[in-house]
Amino acid sequence: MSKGVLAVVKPKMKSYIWLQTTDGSIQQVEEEVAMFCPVICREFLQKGMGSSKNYPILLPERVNPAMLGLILDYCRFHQVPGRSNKERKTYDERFIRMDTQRLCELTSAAYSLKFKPLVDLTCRALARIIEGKTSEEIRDTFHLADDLTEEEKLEPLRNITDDPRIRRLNRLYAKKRKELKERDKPKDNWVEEEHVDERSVDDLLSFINGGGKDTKGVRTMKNKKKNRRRKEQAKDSTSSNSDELNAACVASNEGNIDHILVPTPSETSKLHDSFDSLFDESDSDDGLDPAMKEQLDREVEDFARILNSNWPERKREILSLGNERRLVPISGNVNGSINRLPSKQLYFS
Amino acid sequence: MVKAEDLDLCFGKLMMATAGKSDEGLKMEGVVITEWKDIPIELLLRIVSLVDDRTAVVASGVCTGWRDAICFGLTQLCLSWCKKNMNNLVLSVAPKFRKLQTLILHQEYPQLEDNAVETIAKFCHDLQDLDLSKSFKLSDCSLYALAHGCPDLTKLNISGCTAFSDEALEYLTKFCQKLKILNLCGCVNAATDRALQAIGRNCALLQSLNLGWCQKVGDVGVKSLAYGCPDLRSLDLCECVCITDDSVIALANNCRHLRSLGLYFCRNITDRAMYSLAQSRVKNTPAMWQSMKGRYDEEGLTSLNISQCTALTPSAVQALCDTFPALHTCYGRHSLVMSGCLNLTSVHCACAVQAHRTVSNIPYPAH
Repeated sequence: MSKGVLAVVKPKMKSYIWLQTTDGSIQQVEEEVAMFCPVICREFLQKGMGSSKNYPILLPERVNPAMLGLILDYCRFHQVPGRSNKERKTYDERFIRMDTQRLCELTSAAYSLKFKPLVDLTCRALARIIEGKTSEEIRDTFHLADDLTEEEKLEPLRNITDDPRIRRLNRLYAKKRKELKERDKPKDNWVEEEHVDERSVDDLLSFINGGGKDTKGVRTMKNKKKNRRRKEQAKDSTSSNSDELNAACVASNEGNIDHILVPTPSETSKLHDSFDSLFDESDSDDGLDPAMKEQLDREVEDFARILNSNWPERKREILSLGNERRLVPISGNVNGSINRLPSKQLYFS
Repeated sequence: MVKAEDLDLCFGKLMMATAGKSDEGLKMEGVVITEWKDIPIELLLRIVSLVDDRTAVVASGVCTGWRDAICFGLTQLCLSWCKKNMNNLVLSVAPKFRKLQTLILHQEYPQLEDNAVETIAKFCHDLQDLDLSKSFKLSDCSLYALAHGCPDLTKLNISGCTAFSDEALEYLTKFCQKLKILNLCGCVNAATDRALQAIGRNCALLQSLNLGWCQKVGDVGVKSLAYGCPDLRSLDLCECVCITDDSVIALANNCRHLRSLGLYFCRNITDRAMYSLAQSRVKNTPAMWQSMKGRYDEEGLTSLNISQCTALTPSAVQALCDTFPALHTCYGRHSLVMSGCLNLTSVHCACAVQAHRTVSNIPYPAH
């Protein structure tokens, strides 16, 4: 019936198809453009929908007007039969150039419309974006929640960073990220550090697996995560410095350390880097450059200086967490003298 | 005294702060979803299938949504690019990727150890295709583990795994009876007559077997293989020096689909073997009218390597070449390889003869 109406209209003027998006807005599109999309085509031909404003074709949920516009642009270009493959390819390359968020939306919309050529194109573009990135970078790019436990995240990462080029890249990315963060934001985390970690792989593994409560490293890492209300300028720290800060935290924990909490992204990257640097040292092909080592040494010295100067201020912050502390003596620490000092200072009600 | 709850509260505030950051991207305009995390699983898997394997592993560690999607949907994985930590990598990813059907762990430098294979066997029960080539460090424990854990194996490559014994391989065949493609190249201790007898008993679906450099293989084993695996299409007996004509005759009579045969350096092979192969083709023809209509091999043997089989004479090999039209000696389609057989230079395939006639002045190199 509606087709009959169309037949009358066709020879005189361009025929249009009516489409409705979920927000309720209806638009009309040239028939040949819209028909390039199989779902629309089928709806139109088999069910007769879309021929008038009162009976528009209802588009799937994920197709909002903006996306529909993009999709129709794509159809408009490609439905013209006379174009060469090269032309189409060039168009596709340019079409795909948009920010990641939009690209995701477009992929989603094309997929819900089951529009295969565009789905293929957008998926390939997204694949290119993902390739070569670390998990954290992927999370940043797509605004994904950081909800995996540290153990889950780090396990495979530790083992795939053995291509020297990629590790170097990761290091560079991590450094760049650090620099940007420091420039942009105030510090939320109380320690942003790059461990120059001397522990062996076995120690690290046992730490990850939750064993070895007496290991210095265990307390260090776990306590760091539990106490994060610190504004720190420091970039790096030695393990001894972190122990110093942890002395108070250990006290507050009452020895109830039995699970690993999720670290913030920056800390993950630090841990990642620390593992990275660990592998660097064991890898003769891709050792740390002497320049890098020097830089790290310099940074360590800087941090030590900063730490010593800010201690009174930090002491106050620690105290703001609570008034009383029960102290648990730590065994097996490297800089026992440093640890003993803060505990003495904190011991009051 | 600071209570654990206080700390949790501080931590919780921080967590929300981070979560809030990511929520900035979430535009709640009506029902339209712009948040990437709501992408359908199929779409995510499609994208992951387009990236390289290393990125796929990284992607599984991005967030719980991606991890679940990838662990649910990833069926093929190759970790051969991992040059140093493959063992640990397998230990960490195998428990996650339980739907794996194809796993390629070919190594340049031997890294895999038994615990990795045991982990694979423990978690990846759907595994059909496993490549463990050049895993020098593996011991029989791996084969026993695979036997129990991966009964659906159809393709197994353990070439270069010299530490395996025939007892373990025999055990494996009892459980992995669906094996179609088995590569035992270089498995000197595993590929013995005893193992081949076990294969013949258990793996009736076997189509391709590589016994290259397995010098303990003898007639007893190959005959059992021929009787037990009628569907055999490709057999490589390279450097299996103990083989005699009896093996080839058994193969010719029982493996009617044999397409590729490698007899490099099998010095005991004589014309008898060649004639038996040719005759089997003739015998095959009436069979076509009976039950094997759709499966009749039009071409028969397509590839034969008789290099260094110096006992062969030109007449026998020529007869063979004439019987199987797919055996070529011509340049470009060279499938009848006779390197080192100086007395076979006169053997030509039909097309080579044609070419020879047209360009009669140019001497034709036999190999």
